[in-house]
Amino acid sequence: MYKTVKQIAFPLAAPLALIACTKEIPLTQEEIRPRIVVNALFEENDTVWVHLSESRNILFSGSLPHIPNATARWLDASGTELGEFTHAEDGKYYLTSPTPVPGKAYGISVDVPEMGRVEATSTLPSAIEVISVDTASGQSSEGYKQMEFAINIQDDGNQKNYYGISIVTHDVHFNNEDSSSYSSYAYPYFSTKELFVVNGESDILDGGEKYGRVFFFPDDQFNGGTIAFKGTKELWSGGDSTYFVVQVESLSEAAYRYRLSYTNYSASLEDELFTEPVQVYSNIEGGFGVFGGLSSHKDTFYIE
Amino acid sequence: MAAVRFNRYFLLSTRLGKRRPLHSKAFKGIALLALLGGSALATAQKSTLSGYLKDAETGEALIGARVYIDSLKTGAVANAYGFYSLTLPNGTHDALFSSVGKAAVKKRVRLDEDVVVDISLSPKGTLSTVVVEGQQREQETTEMSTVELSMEKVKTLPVLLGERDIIKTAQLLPGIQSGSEGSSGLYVRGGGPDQNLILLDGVPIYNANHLFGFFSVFNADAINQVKLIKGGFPAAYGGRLSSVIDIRMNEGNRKKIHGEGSVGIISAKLMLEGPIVKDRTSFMVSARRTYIDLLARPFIKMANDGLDGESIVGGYFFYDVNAKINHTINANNRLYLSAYLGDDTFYIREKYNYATDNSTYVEEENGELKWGNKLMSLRWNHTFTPKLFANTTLNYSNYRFLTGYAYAWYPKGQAKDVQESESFEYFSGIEDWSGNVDFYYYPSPRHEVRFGLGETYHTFKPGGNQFQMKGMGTDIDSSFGASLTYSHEFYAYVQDDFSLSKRLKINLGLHFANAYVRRKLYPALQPRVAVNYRLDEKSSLKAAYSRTAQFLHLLTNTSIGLPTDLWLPATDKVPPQYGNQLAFGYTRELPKGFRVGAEGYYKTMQNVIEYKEGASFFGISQGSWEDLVEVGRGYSYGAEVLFEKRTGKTTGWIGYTLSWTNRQFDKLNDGKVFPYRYDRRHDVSIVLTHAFSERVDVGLVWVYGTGNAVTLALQKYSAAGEGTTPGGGGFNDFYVYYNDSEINHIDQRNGYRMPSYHRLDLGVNLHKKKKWGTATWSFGLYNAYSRQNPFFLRIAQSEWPPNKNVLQQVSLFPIIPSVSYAFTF
Repeated sequence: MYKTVKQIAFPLAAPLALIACTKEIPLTQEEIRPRIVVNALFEENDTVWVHLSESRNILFSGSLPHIPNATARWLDASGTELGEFTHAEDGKYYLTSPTPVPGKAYGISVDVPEMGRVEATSTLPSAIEVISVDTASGQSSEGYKQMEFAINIQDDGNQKNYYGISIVTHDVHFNNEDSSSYSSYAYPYFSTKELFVVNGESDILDGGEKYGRVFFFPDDQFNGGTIAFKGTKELWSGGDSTYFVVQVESLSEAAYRYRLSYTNYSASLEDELFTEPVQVYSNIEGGFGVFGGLSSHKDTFYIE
Repeated sequence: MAAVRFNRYFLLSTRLGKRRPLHSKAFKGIALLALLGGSALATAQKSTLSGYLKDAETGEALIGARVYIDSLKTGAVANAYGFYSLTLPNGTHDALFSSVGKAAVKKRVRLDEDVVVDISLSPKGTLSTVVVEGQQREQETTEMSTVELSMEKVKTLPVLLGERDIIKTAQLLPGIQSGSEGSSGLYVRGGGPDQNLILLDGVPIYNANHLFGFFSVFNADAINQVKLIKGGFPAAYGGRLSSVIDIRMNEGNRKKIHGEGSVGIISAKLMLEGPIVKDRTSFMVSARRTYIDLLARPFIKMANDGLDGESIVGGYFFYDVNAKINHTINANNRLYLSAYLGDDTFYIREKYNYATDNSTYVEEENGELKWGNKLMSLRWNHTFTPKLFANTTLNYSNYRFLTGYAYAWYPKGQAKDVQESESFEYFSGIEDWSGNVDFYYYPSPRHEVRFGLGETYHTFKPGGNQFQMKGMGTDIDSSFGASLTYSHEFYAYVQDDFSLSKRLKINLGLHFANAYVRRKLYPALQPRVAVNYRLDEKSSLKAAYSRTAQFLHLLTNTSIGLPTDLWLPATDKVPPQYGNQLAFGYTRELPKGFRVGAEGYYKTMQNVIEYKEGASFFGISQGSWEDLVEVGRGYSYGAEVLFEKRTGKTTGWIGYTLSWTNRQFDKLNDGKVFPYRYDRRHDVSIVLTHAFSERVDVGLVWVYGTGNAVTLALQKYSAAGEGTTPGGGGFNDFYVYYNDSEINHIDQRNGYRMPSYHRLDLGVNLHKKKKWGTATWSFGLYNAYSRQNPFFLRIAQSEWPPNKNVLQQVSLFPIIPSVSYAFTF
């Protein structure tokens, strides 16, 4: 129904399209210097990966170039170097030791010949404590089968926390002739009625229920308490095997702001004409991208 | 009352020798309270000359006409209803009555008691006249940042598709900007389109646009006077931050039936006015309708003939009707009833027949978009005493927007036997009931006091939905969306326009407004002051300060005047807008009808709203508009110069504005200040008309403006998603099915400038006197040198070479000729 409104609204623009004419014009902004792009979302006791690439002018048509020749350093809160990243392939760098420790702040500095240096800092949040993830089958108000999820999280009262929750359905289709061969389809959308989530689109026929791929929220209302999140997901699989992956993440502020804005940005592309533009957050000083810590919890549920 | 036939062109009626008692001591008390300063001293051995100034040909009020006593160097100006009042020492005085375009009349008046003199002024050239200024001169008044639009000019200038438009003419003045190409939006000194109080006969009109903003709702034939105030607001006005556009409809010719009409490329219109009871009751009715839909019908039919079992019909039209009746009950009481009705309708109807083995079925889909205003106003003018005049008004205003879609499936010929159906309607709007009373009190020539109060009851409909579904599994009949919001807006004001000395004149006022919404009270005390210091006979310096409050918001996310814009109340979550404006000016009258004026201003705006990032109008239908907006602030400053020529065969003006307009929202643009969409550094307009003879006149308009500020991504980079950071904690599940792994980086909101805008319009009017009246052929060229002006920009792929990204500019109107035929009788 949400789309129906748009079907009606689009004719609004039709008369304009009939009389409009277009022409190419030069991008008059001064020559835009490519910037270093750093993408690194790191977790507790894990290898730290960072992807380095270059930005390009908006009119650039090819693949965005990776940076294979950078010097990337892992820093502590005071800026002291803890280690240097090693280039693996295609601009992906890794550092196996020391691994990040929850509650600590880290930094990164990246030097690229002829491009200069960029820097960023972030904190790794404390390990996420998911108390329980309960599932039940049910029925939607329209009579469709659905899975209901109840996720309980213990919030850490000693720090400001930000959360993200996703529930992805995977349908697996086996090849009839070769059971070891299969294809898998993933469906990320799900719904929630929780008022504390800060993103998601509403379906007007579902009583204000929001749907989206990931729901984000800060711990403003729960600081130090228990967070109870409920979500539903329609069951309309036609696969040979179906399973759900429930993922809960506790995010640093940088990771949270980046992910939230990127999710909104991605959603805005679906309906660009009527949607306000979204600026994606970046905490890379002098460059683009994100450097942020997160703690992740993942559960998988199989449907027979 | 004695009526004296002065001569064949000029009627003077006087009511002499009647000393009018006060109708109510209470009003006298109120009036006395309203006096600021020592105006009460002005009663000893003085009497009051008062009355109405009217047009001799039509009997209509001459707004802003003037009475002047040269020997005393004092005078008065007729108010919006033509009433004037001038208290003078007893004795004999030569009073000069004048108005723009009218022959001045000198009348000797003996005052030994209050005297009422109604004067009718004839057009210039029809009798020997005294050459005087017809109205108060710019350097004499405390009004600043105020323009009275000449309706003659409106009707002479070339415009898009030949549709005369007061708003389009107003956009040519310095400090007032249009939005995008062709738009009727007004952006005054950095303010938004919601910050303009557009009054049609005293009633606020909320959506002043027809045809997506390309035309305004005001039919020039029905309009008598337009006054535009962009700063230094008198205390009588309130409710908006940026401007007041006070539009008065024709009252209706009291002498004889008169008509005007025209047939143009897209519309036809007709205005009729005349007496119902001569010199006592008159009417005016004006109607306009576009006929693109009617002209397109044969072509649509031809196109449908070629379709097998399918028909598609679509169309668009708008119409508007203005009507007014005014009635003089007696010398002290007049009634006015005015109404406006206008609608825009866009529709598309699709029907598809198909046959199965047993029968034939029809599938029908209908879509419709409608928006429009209804206004009604009942006004009562009452003269309590020669010094105290009151206008009491009851108003109704309604703006609504509706969009609907319906689908039905039924056996052919049995439209009532619907097998499946689905329909959806979305509606929004605002409805006002209001009443107000305004007093004009003239205790002495040095004081002109106004005071009054009013109340408006708003009903906001921020977005309701009706959805029905039948025969598709589950039957649904549901209403949902944002709930109605009600608010009360009360105001009271007092102002005194007084002379402190021969050089110094001050308008001091206080406007108090109070809004009550959702049990929350928003009081706002708004001081207003305007000062005029005359340097000499020809020039003056001016300054004004005004604080303003606005209890309404307009939520808009497009720049093309879509009627999807939503009027919303200030609420407990979204506070009212407040503004402060400081302006300084200099004006000088030059020889041969030239005048130059320069003004500087600084304006702040608190609590302006914008959509949140990623939000859209469609989110409103979910019922939580307050969650979709951000509240921030704005400020603007600039300088304006207007060089104009008002008299002679060649008239017009050159206007230039240098301005800066910015916004700041904590949650937009990372909290940093960004330019307003219509921040326009340079804005130039050249407007010229020249009358070669009574039969031929030409018009020229050239405008230039810095390109609008738009939000455009200038760089792109890889997102931290699938494939860019392996091993990073299950991103595959978080980022499944994301559309894009590249991010288009927006460095700054509204950080990119579109190419500049400029355009030349030319027009020629050929007039011919006929036995029955006058006929005029008008030929126009809009965008005469066919400049491709930017409407919006987009990143797109080039046609050749393929897959190459380019920046594209979309333009709307190339050179557009127009022709129209107008007549008056």
